[in-house]
Amino acid sequence: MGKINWARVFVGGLLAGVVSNILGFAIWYVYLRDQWGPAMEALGRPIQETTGMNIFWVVVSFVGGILGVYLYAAIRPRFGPGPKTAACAGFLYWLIGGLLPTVGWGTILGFPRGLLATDTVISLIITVIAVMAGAWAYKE
Amino acid sequence: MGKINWARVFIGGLLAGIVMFALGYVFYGLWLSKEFGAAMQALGRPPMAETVGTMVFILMMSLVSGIIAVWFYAAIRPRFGPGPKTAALAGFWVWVIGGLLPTIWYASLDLFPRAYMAKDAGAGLILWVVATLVGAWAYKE
Repeated sequence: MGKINWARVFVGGLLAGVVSNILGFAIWYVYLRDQWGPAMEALGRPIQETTGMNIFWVVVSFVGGILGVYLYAAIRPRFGPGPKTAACAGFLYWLIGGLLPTVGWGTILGFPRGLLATDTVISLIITVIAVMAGAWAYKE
Repeated sequence: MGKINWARVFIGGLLAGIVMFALGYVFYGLWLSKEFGAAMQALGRPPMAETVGTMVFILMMSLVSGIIAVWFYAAIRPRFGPGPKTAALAGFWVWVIGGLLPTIWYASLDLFPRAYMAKDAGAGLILWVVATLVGAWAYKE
């Protein structure tokens, strides 16, 4: 089996990061910010929307995009190239990096369940679309 | 390419989950419990009660995590070949995505002290890699 094309992982990952950032910020400012604000304030940790924080979120999304496309590249020989495998990689990423930590940390911190459920569903949609977009740019 | 052996994914995954649960108890239930309790108190939250319900919840989370980790090992086997190196790689990447990044994320929100989060992430790396290695050992095609 051929090696992973790292250049394409980065190119696809950056594309996935762009998609993830656009969708993520749009949904954050349109809907999620108003939901998460009171939940964080209840813990005495109001959300700090500084430039530094926004840059940090952007960088984390790009790292996530690269990791998502890496997952796609890693499972490609098993499931074959294409959007179905990309969606599977996106789902896997969401399962590991979205659902499990949200259920774990969210439960421990006592965030409202409705908010956690909404956030998790939104992150599933964003992650699958972003990884599919990034995987489209991945070639071997 | 052969299909994934689901029976073995479940057997290996349950094994990995049990290892995860046991190591999790050592790391989080013994080593980090005081720091975690203090961090929760600082947030005005009660410390995690060691009830049967909590233990069942953690066990379930561990088993599901174990199954996902072994499934990932099975999924990347054709790319990297079978064996402990691939299993460790699977555990490492699952930790990066499911442990390290969320930890960095939560640390950035100032929910927990950064020193605690660093220890939490370090413990998570050992936990994920060891559990995936054990679970992958039971996986055959």
